[in-house]
Amino acid sequence: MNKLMLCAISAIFVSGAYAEEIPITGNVESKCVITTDTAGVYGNPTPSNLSTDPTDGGVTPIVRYDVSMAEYYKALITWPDEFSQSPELNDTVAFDGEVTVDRVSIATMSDYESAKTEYQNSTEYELTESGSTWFAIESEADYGFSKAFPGGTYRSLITAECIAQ
Amino acid sequence: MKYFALLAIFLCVEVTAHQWTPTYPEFRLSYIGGIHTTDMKLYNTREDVDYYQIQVFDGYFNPIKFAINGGQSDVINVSFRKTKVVSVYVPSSESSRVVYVCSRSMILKEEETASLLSSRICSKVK
Repeated sequence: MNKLMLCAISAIFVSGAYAEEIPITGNVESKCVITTDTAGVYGNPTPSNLSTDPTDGGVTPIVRYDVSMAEYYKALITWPDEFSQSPELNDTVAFDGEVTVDRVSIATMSDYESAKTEYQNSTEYELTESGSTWFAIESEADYGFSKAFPGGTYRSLITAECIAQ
Repeated sequence: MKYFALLAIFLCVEVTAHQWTPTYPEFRLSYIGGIHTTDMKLYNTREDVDYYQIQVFDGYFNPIKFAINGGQSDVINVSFRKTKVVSVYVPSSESSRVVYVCSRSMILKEEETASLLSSRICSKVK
């Protein structure tokens, strides 16, 4: 009887010696994430003009790029040159825009603005540091020869691209 | 001018873009003769976007013919916060020309509340 009890107790201790090891694995890989930080709104300072400039009553859209590894990607941001939605327009619309670095997560990213390349309505930045960069995209549209925009909703499309280098 | 809309919506809601990995994919010979393939992973973190277009380009962003698994088109449906593995197939004769494999968010025309940010992420074949 004593032997049986001893065996039972031993079995409990033996089984208690097992421990669960739960592994956590992770894989850090290069990637790029684009986030809309601030929603953009067109202001209408004059009848013939729509502008995202805050002094014109607009809100400048801001897009954030997060890159996990330095020098893997370049950012290509294109400001709109047409409306994706608007009332019927029977005259030409002249679009203009500007992309600038608004904020950076580390000081060395401040060189991005001076090193940017602009062509047509696109602006290219080499993302040479890991971290976050906020880009402000200004957009402006002028209708005809000082013609008043018809009433309605106007939408346009920003293209934000992250291209591996 | 009474009902003139003073403001026009440019971007409406905060959203994030999608993730497209790996950054540097490699094409390998597929089980189909004369076809090379690579596997890409798309993670959709955009609540306003359910469809993505896959694109394959050479070094000058000229399009290259390709096919993807499970579809007749180059558009895939990925729900919010879901991941989809996409196999991209190109003719072996063209595989050496492939430089960029991209995914681009598709915004529905009738979408009223979506952010009008088109995001495109391109991986580079090395």
